[in-house]
Parts: sequence; C-alpha cells; structure tokens
Amino acid sequence: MKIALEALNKHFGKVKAVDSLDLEIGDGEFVALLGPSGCGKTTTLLMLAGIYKPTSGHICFDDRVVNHLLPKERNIGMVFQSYALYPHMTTFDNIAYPLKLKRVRRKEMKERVQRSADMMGIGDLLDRRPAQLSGGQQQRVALARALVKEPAILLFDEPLSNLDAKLRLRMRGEIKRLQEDLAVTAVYVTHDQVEAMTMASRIAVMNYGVLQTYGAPNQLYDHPDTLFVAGFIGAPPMNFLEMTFKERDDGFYLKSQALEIRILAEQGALAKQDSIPQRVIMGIRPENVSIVAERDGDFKAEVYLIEPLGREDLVTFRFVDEEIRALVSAPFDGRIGETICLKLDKEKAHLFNPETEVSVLRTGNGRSS
Amino acid sequence: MKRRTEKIGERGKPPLPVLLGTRNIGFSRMRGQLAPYAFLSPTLILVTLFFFIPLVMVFILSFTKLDMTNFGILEWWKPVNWSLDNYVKIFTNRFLSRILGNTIMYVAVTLALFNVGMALVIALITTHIKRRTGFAFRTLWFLPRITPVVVYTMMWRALAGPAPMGVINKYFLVPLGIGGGEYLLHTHPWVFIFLVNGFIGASFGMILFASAIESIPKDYTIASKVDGATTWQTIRYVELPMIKWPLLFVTTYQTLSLLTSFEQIMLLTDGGPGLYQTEVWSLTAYHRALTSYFGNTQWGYGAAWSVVLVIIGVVMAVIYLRVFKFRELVEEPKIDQL
Repeated sequence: MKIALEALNKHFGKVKAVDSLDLEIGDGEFVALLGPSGCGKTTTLLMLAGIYKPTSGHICFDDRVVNHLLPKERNIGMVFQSYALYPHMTTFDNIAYPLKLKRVRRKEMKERVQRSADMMGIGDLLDRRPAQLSGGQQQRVALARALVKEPAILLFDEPLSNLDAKLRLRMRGEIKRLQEDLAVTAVYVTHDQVEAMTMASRIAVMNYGVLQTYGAPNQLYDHPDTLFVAGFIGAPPMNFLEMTFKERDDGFYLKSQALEIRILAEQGALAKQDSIPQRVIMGIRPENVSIVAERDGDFKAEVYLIEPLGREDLVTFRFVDEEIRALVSAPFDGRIGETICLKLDKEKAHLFNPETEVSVLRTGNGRSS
Repeated sequence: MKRRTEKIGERGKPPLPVLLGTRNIGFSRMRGQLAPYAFLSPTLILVTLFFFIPLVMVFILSFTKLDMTNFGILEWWKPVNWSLDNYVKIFTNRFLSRILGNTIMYVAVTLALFNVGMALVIALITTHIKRRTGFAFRTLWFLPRITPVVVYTMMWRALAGPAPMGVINKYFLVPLGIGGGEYLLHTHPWVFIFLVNGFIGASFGMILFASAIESIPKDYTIASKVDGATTWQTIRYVELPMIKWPLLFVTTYQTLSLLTSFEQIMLLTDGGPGLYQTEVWSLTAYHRALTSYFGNTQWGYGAAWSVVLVIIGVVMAVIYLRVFKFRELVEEPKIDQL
C-alpha cells in the first residue's frame, strides 16, 4: 500500500510536534523516520496508526484520505519498543488478539496464529505468558501479533532499542528480510542512524517536527542537504570546521587560522552563488582525512587521542583550537603528542551556509542524484 | 554497625584488657539484635493494646453472659462461666434469617452497584475524557466521604423528608405526581441505605481504579486499538484484566468494611421502620451490646454476634482470594534464553 502525507501538521497546544510534513512512501517500501528524541517521528507514526488525529493536512493510503478512519479500519500492524504484550494473556492469546477482534473462526485462528508464530520461531512458546519470555522472545511475539492479520502496513516504533547489542543486530537482519519477503510497506521509527541506514530503502530525517531530508541512505551519507543531517548520519560523525571563503586568481580557497586549502572550482562556484559566501562551515568525514608525507599535506596537527576500533583506528587531532578526527588503517603507529601531516579529500568536502545551515552544494547534489 | 563498633574498639583502645573488649562486643551485638524491636515497639504496643487484647477479650466475652446487671460480679475470665449459650441463642433467634438476609442484601447491593460498580464506571469515564475534567469529577465524587458522617446522613434525611419539607418529595415526586409525599425513609428505606452508603463507598474504589487505569502504559491501549479493538473492547480485554489487583483489593476490603459498618443505617433508620426491617448483623451486635433495649446491655451476647461476623468476614476474604486466583497472580516467571 502506498502512503502519502500532505502538509501534515500535529500541534499539542503551542508545540508543533509535526510541522507541515510532506512524505511519500511507495508500495512495499521500507522507510525509516530518523531523528533525535522529541523530533516528531513517533507522533507521525501514531498519526499513521490513527491514534492521533492530524491538526491539519492529509494522510492518504493508496490515494484514499484516511484521516477520519479509526485505527481498526486501517489494517495496520505495529511493533513497540516496549513490545506492549498484554501481560495477562498467553503468547497464543496475544497473537490471536487481532483475529479475535475480527471474529475469525476458532479453527482458522489457530492455524493463522500457529503459522505466524512458526514464522517467527516461537511456535513452541504459545502457552507462555510474556513475563515467562526473554526480551528477544517477546519481540518475536510482538512481531507475530503484528503480522497475524496480514496488515497492509507495518509500523515499528524503535522495536530494537530494548534488546542487547548482539540480539539487536540479529533482529535487524530478520526484520529486514521479513519485510522483503512479505513485500509489506513498512515505516520504521528510530533514533539510531545505523539501524536506519542498514534497514531502510529511504530515510526521512526529522528534527523539531520538520522534515530535514528524505532520500536513500547513500545519498544522505554522500550528499547531506543540511548541517543537521550531515552531523546526524554517519558514525563516527562528520568533522565541522568554520572557514572563510576566498576567491583568488588561481581558484577558490577556504581559510581558517590554522589552514588554508584550495577547493574544487565547481564547489567554489556554487559557494560563491550563496548569499553569505564569506563564511562557510566545511564538513569532512573522518574517512576522508588521511595521513600523508609532509610535502603532500594540507596542515599539521597534534595527535590527541587514539581509539582503536579493530579494523581501523579513530584518531583525534588538535590544531590551534580546533579538533579533527580521522579514520586511519590500524594499527596507527603515531604517539600521543606527535605532530603529523594531514590531507583532506576535497572532493568529499561538504560546505554549509552557517546562517541557514543548508548545504551550499545543494544544486550540485541535486544534479548528481 | 556491629562490625564498625568492633573495629573502633580494637583499633582505638589497644591496651585495654581483653575481657573488657569482649564485653563491649557482646553489648553491641545485643544492641544490634534489639534495635529492630525498638523501632517496631510503638506499633507493636498499639496493636497489642488496641487490637489483640480487645480481640481476645471479645472472643472470651462471647462465651459469657456478662451484661450491665452482673458487671463486677460475674468472673467472666474464668472458664467455669463460659458456655455456648450465646451462640445457640443467635442461631435460634427467630429474626436471624431476616438479619442475615438484610446483611447479605445490604453488602451485595451496595458493593455491586456502588463501591465497585459505580466506582469502576466513574473511574473508566473520568480516565477516558480530558484529564482535567476527569479530575474535577472525581473531586466532586469525593465530597460525601469528607463530609462528617452525621451531617451527611442528616442531609439525606432532610432530602427524604415528607412533603412539603423533603426536597425530593417537594421538587421531584409531588410535581411529577409520584407517591403521596410520605416520608421516603418509611416507604423506601433500603433505597436510601444503598444510596447513602454507596455515595461514600464509591469514591474509595474510584480513586484506586482511576489511578490504576492511568498507570497502565499507553502502549497497551495503543497496541489494542491498532490490533482492531474499539474503546469498549480495549477496556474489556486489556484495561480491566490489568487492574485485577485493585479490583480484588477493593472488593475484599469493601466487603469487610460494609459487613462491619452500621453507623449510616443507625442514623438513617436505626434498623426500622418495621421490626428488624433494615437491621443488619453489625447493627444487631451494636444494639445487643451497647444499647439497653430491655433494661440491660448484653456485652457477652453482643460479642458473640461480632465474633460470628468476624468469621463470616474471614471466610469471605478466603473465597475472594480463590475466585480471583491469587496464586496465579503471584506466579514465578520462567525465563530462558532465545
């Protein structure tokens, strides 16, 4: 089922929890709503579920406006962070609950419950109560309950946040595979950008109730539209340096107290068009900062901290009063306090207007995608 | 605390004789063991003085014929003077079935319609509307409980009064042509007994149920609605089972407190207007023990009525625990790894 949100608003008193949100989700697509807590992602999800009524705007399922439909008329399955398994019911009764409400015949109900329990690998736990299940088992029961009525849309509200790291990784894969097998439209709310990147076909990043950007994971990673998106997506996070923009005869330069680098002519031209081109924020991901021999380097910096990550080491450098982090192949052979030459991969640099926090390379971004 | 005292003793005063050291340890150990009892003692003393001793006394009294005429003469504490006569007298009383019937009706109707029923309805309504409005309604419902019981009951007597004084008669029944404006406590005593007790009783359950319903995590009700339930189905299948504990507690507690309550009935009808028409068990105990119907106050006989009431109450509580499957509620979880 296709979902379309048109100029959707939800206000709680004076608080704009969701602010004129436009979003389209294709049939069978897996979309993640990503953002920090309080950004409006759960509010959006609950509007999709029919729990909250939008203040204004439209929610359409397959071109049909469903604003006025009750939750039970929407054919939705939902999985919660808390699992929300009814504690007084057995696993069977929990999974059967949506069918019981639909007055499905006892025999059919048994078959369908067994089928979706087997699919989730909990077919032998049907007589247990939630308190007698582990976190992972509870999560599977919650999934089975969401799937048993064969919903047109699956909603996930941070379903993996309560699981331990190992189990979370496994369930992440299982949910993604399940969604692909069933080809059901899924909306997945999370504050974990890794979850969003790995699971979703498209990510909608929200902050303060406003949609920041909407696109495929790689696009958001490679061409972030705003400073917020650039900083939120990617781990370890992007480095940001405040620079001054200068045009000279031989090209465009970014300058700060400690360094001066020449940027690509194309980037420079775009930055020049922007309203406040004197000051820009340059963003560069840690993997685009490399250690080089002195004659090739852009600037020198002192090793401040080394964090081994296994395959790579994350090294924090300090220069003048700035910090920059670089991912270098392990083992990093420098010592703390040592001065080392660094080079930035200018092609991968991002430039943001410090006032609007919007990428000045945005048009270039549009062209490339 | 014990260990620290020992250490200080050892480290602080090394040259002292060993004997003194051990005595110190012994004293502090004893003090450590006594400390909990010291903290418990105020309650223990109060409970002993005002609960256990009276309980035992009432139990003993129930086997004696102690009353105002033989007070100071009858040695009621001596087993020689004990007999089952009072109990025989109760169970051969020709009004027993009427008093028992009254008690069962009084407790069952007040409990079902008001103390649990109405309490649950108000709690459900006030938790499913705007929070502030709900809170205001619940506050209103609390008024009967915080009004002094005599004032409150007298207000009801005034309401039930005959025309033209009684409010209900003058403004409702007479204009509508219902009844002849008689004193309503004479024509419909039970209705008023239920109302007077129920309006007080409902607030207790209401507060407990409302807070229990409000403390149900939102996810459950959202999940239920997404699963396809209407509000009523969500209440029926999710919310009510989740407030089983307060339901059990209020039902049990209110049964016991209704069984033993008689002051509203005493002030309202005093068991009348007909002979034993609204007399309940606890009121009988009071009448026998503490009022002088026939020129004497039959403490022993009244105590026997109370003891039977206590036994009824205990039996009821045990039945409730069975009905609500208390064991299942406290079942041990079995958790294993996925």
